[in-house]
Amino acid sequence: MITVNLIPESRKKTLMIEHRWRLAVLVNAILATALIWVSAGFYLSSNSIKDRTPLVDTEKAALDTRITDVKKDFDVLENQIKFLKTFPQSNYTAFIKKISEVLPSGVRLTNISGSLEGLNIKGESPDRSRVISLEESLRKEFDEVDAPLSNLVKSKDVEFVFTVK
Amino acid sequence: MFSKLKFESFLDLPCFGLHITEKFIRIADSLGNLTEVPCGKDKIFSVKKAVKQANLRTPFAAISIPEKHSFIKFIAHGGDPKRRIRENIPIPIKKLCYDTYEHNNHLFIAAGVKKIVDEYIEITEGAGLVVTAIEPASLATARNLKPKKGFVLIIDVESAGSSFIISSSHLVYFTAFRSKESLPGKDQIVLQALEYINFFEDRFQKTIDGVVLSGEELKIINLENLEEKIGRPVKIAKEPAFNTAIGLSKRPNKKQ
Repeated sequence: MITVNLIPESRKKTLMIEHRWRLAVLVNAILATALIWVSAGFYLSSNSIKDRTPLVDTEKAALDTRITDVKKDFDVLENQIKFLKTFPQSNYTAFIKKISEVLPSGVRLTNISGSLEGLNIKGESPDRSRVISLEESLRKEFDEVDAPLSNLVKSKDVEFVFTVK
Repeated sequence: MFSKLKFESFLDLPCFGLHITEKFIRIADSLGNLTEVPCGKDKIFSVKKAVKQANLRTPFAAISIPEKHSFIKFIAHGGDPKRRIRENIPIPIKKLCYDTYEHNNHLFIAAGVKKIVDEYIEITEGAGLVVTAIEPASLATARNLKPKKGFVLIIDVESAGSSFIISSSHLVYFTAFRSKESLPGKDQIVLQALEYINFFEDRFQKTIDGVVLSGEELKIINLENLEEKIGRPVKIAKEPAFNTAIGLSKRPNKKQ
């Protein structure tokens, strides 16, 4: 059906301007609302980050401690692995057998320990001469024998230490 | 953005139909809700009351002006529309508000007395509403009662008088208003309708397929043997008093 509009032309222009104003106000209101929401979002999220910072710091410190512990454990393990790698070359079993063969009677070993520096022997002897005899025997059997002078200080009931390689 | 905005886009806003008569204020919204309030001496107050009662969600109103203060002409088109308006409407063009529409080398002219148009705008805006469209009541009525095909004569009987509207599915070809005083007899409306039917059929070489009765004063028509007297099917509109308001609320968003 045909449609006409008898609104006067001058009034149509006024209505058009009013309509544009309404539209402009509406668009501005929408933009302002969107801006407020975005700002509020940023504000809340920044506050949330600030609130969580101390927690993150605590967690970081705990993690750092844990990392240090793990590093220490790792170093210990590394040293043990290094030691174990040297073990077959050192052939400590054969060393101990040799030592037992040259051990004078009455002399006893109290401790044997191995390290990268060599085999450390501790023991007790009823007198100094048997310690000297043991040192000579060891020097014949091993390439290097370290014997401190303290082994010869006492004449009886001597506690001695040797390191052999 | 604004440069692309045409006035028609303003009409895209959802609006309701507001029909102001001497006795009633009638409102029809786009959802089909109808409201009627008696019209007092203070028309602005009555419109406010009707708007409040209708519980409307939009301030945008399409209003009509009474048929007795409006003109509708469907004439052969030629030359300047303003000249054709001057030739066919007996009121100086400066005192008119008008709109035109071209159809198949014919010119459709709708016009209203500017003083009356201003008065109705003043009433509507005084009630806090925004007028987005004004049209003659007969156009709005025809929009609601138009036939699917063929031609009908709509007789719209109001307290001030009767409107005779001949309409097809897309165009109003003829309208005439006769005051209550000029048609005092019970059968005179029917006789006048027959005269207009004969005039239209002779002039346009078309047949009127039926008659539709409408208006708040419909009861004054003598319905006895009406179909026999007119010689065509006669039906009464579903909401006789609300056809203009409903037609206004059904205004399409853009000119057709």
